[in-house]
Amino acid sequence: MVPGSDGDVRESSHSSDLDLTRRALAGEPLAVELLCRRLACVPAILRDRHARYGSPLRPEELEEIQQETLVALWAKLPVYEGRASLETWAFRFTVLELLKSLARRDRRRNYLAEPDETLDTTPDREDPEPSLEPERLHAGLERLGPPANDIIRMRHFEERSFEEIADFYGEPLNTIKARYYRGMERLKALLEKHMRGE
Amino acid sequence: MTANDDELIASVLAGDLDPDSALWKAAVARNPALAKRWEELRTLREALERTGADERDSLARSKADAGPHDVASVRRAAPVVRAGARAGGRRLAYFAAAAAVALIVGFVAYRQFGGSSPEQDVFLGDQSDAALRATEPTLDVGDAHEFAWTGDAPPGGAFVVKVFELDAAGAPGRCVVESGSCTERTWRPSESELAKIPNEFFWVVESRRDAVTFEDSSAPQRALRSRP
Repeated sequence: MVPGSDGDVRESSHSSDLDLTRRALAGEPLAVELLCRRLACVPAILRDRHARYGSPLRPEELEEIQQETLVALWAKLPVYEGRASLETWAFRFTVLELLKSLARRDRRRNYLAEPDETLDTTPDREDPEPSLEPERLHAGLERLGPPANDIIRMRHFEERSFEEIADFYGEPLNTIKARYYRGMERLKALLEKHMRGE
Repeated sequence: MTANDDELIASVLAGDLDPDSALWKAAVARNPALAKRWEELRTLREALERTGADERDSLARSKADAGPHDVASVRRAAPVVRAGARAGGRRLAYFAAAAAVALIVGFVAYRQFGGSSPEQDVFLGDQSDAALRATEPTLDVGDAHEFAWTGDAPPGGAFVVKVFELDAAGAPGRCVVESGSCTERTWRPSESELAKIPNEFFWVVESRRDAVTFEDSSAPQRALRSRP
């Protein structure tokens, strides 16, 4: 069970994943082993997303980011609440870590080349036009914060119905729809400058 | 923008009101700002749907692509394993020092006794990577009367077998039996321990440095008691 204050979930929808994570963090060897197998998708996610961004890194750089991401992921596991499956949660974490690493790398390079142009933290890779790229949406959702970002993710990334989301939160359907609408309005405001190119 | 307009646009966004409905078209005709807001929200919703589909595809590809090397990478980054690796590093240093002493002693003996070789063990590397592998009982053939495995425990260490019942999802659940320390590579549960082992179960064997400190674990092995 997760604390049930406003905006928090009443009960985890992936309680077996949450239980596995807690047992692994408590040092239970079997759970650690099972968790390692479940999270083996993380290096593969990094390879997949890296290829999608046009493979800007050398193999050794990607390997270094993989190590950093895995260590950071283990450190972050205590805050996993079972709102999404382990793999979905790890996917979002991994994508954000990769983007942060790419942004840091770009800043370093830009700093060496052009010290005045170091501030855009969102990498433009395949499409240089202003647009709602997945990376920008992820960054916007992170800034939006819970519960609105979780509701939007459940709706569009996990394809859950509003009824399922309401059931998950233990809230009236209309409350969830209202939070979704307000969240979308705020997200729109956060991404406004990138929406002009759509 | 009125409260009614807000309600209308929220209904359209949630899919409760058809954007082709007369009610919505009349509202948009009355208030062009409403049409602009709806257009922006629709664009955002479509981008989210595209991103969601992209994410699901990427995750499915990644799950299919993940291999044993990736499991090993995750395992190496686990805090408990990293702590073990540091301890392994210290062990390696001790072994290296011992090997250096052995080489010096050997060289002196060779010079002194005309080439006779000393009866010394030669360290060939850290053995902590030796894979621990559960072998018997295996699915459909086990009677759970004897558990066997391959692999080594550290010097002075021991093995422990753990048996788990299946949870509702078919994953390893509660530990129902744990053996005492085993120095051989087999374990025979007692009658009372056998009675606790369900028809279908998972089991692992762990190696321990000093009968208490965890060193390594086999992958979980699913087994079926065909002769309870």
